[in-house]
Amino acid sequence: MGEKKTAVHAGNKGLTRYLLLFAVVVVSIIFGILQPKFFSVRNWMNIVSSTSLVGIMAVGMTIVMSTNEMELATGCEATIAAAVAGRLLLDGTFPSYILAVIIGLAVSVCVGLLNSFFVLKLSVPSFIETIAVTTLIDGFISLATNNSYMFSNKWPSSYAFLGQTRVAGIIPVPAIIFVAIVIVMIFVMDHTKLGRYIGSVGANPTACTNVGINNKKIKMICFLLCALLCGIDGILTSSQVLSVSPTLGQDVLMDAMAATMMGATFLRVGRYNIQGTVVAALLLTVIQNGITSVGAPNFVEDIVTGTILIISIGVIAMTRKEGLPSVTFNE
Amino acid sequence: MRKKGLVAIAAAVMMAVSAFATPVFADTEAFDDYDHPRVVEDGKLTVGFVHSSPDFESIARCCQQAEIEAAHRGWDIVDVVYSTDTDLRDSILNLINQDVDAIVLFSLESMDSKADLVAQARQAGIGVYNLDNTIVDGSIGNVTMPNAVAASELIYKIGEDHGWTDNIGVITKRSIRVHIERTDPIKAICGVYDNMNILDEQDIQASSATPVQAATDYTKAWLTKYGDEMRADHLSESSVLEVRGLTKKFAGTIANNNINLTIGKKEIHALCGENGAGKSTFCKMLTGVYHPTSGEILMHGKKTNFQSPSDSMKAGIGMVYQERNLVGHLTGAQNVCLGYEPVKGGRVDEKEITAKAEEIRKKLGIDIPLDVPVDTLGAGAQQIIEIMRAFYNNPSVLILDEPTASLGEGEIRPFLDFVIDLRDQMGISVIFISHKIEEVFAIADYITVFTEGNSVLTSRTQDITQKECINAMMRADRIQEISVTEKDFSKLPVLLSVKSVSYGGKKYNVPFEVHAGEAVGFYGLVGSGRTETMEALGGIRQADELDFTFNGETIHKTSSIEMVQKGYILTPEKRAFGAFKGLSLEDNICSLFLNRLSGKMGFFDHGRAKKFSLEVLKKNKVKYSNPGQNIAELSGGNIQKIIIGRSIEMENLKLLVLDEPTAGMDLGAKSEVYVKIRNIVDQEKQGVVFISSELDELITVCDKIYIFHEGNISGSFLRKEFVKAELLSAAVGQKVGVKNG
Repeated sequence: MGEKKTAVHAGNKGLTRYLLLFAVVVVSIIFGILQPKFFSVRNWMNIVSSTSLVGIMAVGMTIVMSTNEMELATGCEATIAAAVAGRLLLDGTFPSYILAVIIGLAVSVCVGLLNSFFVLKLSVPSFIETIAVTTLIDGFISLATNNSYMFSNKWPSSYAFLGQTRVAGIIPVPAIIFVAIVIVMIFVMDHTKLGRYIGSVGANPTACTNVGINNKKIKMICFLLCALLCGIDGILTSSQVLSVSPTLGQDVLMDAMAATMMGATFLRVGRYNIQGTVVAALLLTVIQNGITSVGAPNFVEDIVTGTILIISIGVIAMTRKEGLPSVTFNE
Repeated sequence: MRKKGLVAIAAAVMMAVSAFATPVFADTEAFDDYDHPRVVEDGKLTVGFVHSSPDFESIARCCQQAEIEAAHRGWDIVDVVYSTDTDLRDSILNLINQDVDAIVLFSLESMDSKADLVAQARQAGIGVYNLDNTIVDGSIGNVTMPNAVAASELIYKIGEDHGWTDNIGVITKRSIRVHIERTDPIKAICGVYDNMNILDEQDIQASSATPVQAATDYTKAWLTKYGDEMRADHLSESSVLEVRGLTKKFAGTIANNNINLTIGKKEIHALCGENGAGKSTFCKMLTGVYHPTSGEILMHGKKTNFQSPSDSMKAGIGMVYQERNLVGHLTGAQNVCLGYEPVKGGRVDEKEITAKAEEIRKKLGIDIPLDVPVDTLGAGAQQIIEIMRAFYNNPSVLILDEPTASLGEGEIRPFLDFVIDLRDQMGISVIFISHKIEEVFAIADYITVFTEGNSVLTSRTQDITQKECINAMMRADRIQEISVTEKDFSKLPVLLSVKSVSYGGKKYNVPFEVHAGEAVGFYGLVGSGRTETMEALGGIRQADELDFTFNGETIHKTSSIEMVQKGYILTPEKRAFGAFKGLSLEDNICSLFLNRLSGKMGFFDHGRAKKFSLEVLKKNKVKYSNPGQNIAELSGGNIQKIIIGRSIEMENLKLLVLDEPTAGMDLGAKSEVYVKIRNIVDQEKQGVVFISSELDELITVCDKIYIFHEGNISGSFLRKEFVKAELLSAAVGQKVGVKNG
């Protein structure tokens, strides 16, 4: 066990903890060589836009998983926000787009409340609970979207604003929102008491109870925050494609989860962190985009992504004596 | 201020009229041939107390008690001492001439010769009471037992007889003693009682329960009415933490039952008790984790109402738990400030955190790095950081829960000195929870013993012995004497004979022998190779080379299954390796006996299994609810009992190797294990190897002890050679000559 500890801390010093960033650079260069168009500004803005849509959800997941709870309901939290907002605006009579968005986000936060209730009050393990909630909310989503792809030509023009506008013609609005969220969340997680407690509750809940930290309150804040972020993600995504698909959130969820887990190999090996999540989300998007750019068949993308995911999780499992945080739920 | 209270209050020791029918007063016909004793109008009696010098201590105390009680009633006391019989007569005569209202004779001498004086007194209306158990004509009250209860009752009777109707009574220390209220505030209020000694239990029990109970009830009622003012004055001066009637009930059990405790300034107060006695529940109430079912906690004389741990911390109670709980990735300084981080402009102020931690570090005079993640530090350093954290909020009371449990031999004494410094230099009061009696007696000023939820003993350390303390800690029926008779082992077969073992790439010189009927102890420091050696022999650990004889058979290579079948059973140190965690008690026990409990076709016989497991549970005195429950719900000690118990049931058991079997058990459970070991070996068919890190238990139980050092045996001692110092030297590497025992 002593050997493992030094491995973790050796991983924390030196350049191995920046491996993920190097990977982004290296992979980009490889793709760039194979397909010069990969490096065009337009392509990179696409990459940035996609990263943002995965990244916002991933940031939410990172926060919850830092408290040693699993969050698999992020997909439905994203979708339901979009579904509710879209539904309200469906027949064009709803007075305000912004109000619809706010209501959508509120519903999403309610799902977060639901999670909090079951996990914190009734002590249902979050792994199972979030899966169960997803099934439940998916039902409501089907209700809202009439069990199909929802879109309406009566949606106000502002519907497309968030997803499709580019500032100065280049920078997509989702990217700006993403960057803003990341900056705020990094500040919170690394420099505020709340962030300190979130990490501590995940690392040693008993230590926190002993000093009077309210573990349940912290976890609830994380669930709600994550739900809010996922709601934002859902609104942005549906805005970008100008429709609400019932699987909107699910599609992003796996990538977000992968990004969060891979992010734990970056900067603070063995602990989820936002910086790592961001870099990992970027890496995933680069790979996906790159593979498409070079014209390789889709399955290559899955193989490459899967391999990287396994390697990074393997690295964490070997260096952390408890294995990956928040994934064991039998203890 | 106190005197005023004294005069103002003295509570009445009330007795039911039926008290007069009790055996204490042999003479129930109160008024006889003589007139009723005179009634004193204003209630201010004059009473003469006649006692001898020298006299039996009990009688002297009885007299003293009576006089005190009389004084508190505002009566006049005439104290008369005699030494010869003539004196006695003169004394009585004197009193009659002084025309006292009552005469009390504290004398065991025969009163027959004074019968005339008694008659004379009675005729004058003077009540005559005596301590003699011969009934003298004219004597109104005879007390058969010279103790303070009797004295109280006597004075009461005197008052009654003479028409003393005043409602004021007196609290006697005697009446305080029998009930569970604290004595300290009473002591303070009735300062004069400091001189009194506590009488023996036998004296108290001899008297009737009723008057005492009445005294108890009245005192309680009085205290409720007048106590607070008195207590506040007294307490604000000298106590830091006071607990009154603290009770905690969980569904079905009373974890803490009416606890009363005071911790004074600059005091180290030890809390002793077995596992499950209620110590941790008590602490959890002090730290706000549990809410009391009833009772109060006062800090510096003020009532508190802790809703959460932070309330308790703010009130000045710091707690250091038994298990270290630090956040591994945070530094020492960050852990110290956890939960109370200073904040500047929305951000956590890391500089301030470092500064505060440094401050505490300097104050405590310790030297460990505070700027690295704590999961890189060792256990001792982590423990210190836990203590530093408790200091963050400037506690006035520090609770240390089994603080030396995880410290190594060399770290304990410095730690105890550190605790003493806390009291002396920093003026902090310490509640020191421990079941290690030697440590408690080394540093504690006061000791309180908890048993089964009750506080059964509170005493200054200097006033009791270690044995009394241990006795108070457990029910008497649980400690048993271990007697080891000397055996001639040359007559008994050798079960196991070893010269050396090789494992992990090295060869170790471990010459030892175990005979049938022998309990062999293995002692050594952690990591000295005891477990490894026995695991290698047992086929559990991969051995490079083996050459030993077991039950007459020479073995060079083996596996664990083979050794088990040959009768070599090892119970592991970590209970996790011995118990099947998710399974029931029945499954755990029967796991070794599947063949025995199955029918011909391999079908498992559940009925037999259940019966068998119930038998095993009963034989080993395991505390459980039902055999189907999950073994993980039992306490560690009970799990260990099951693991050992089922091993003993193996039919072909030849050698039982117990690896740290009593770790974490309370004294009573440990004692049971020792008895069990002796029972096994005394049947002279099997042998036991007892691996332990507690030298004392090996010395108690074993016929022979081998000392291990760095994988090799560095000493062997027969029972008659057990000298603790020598055993310890061998353990740290000073060879004492390796003999083949």
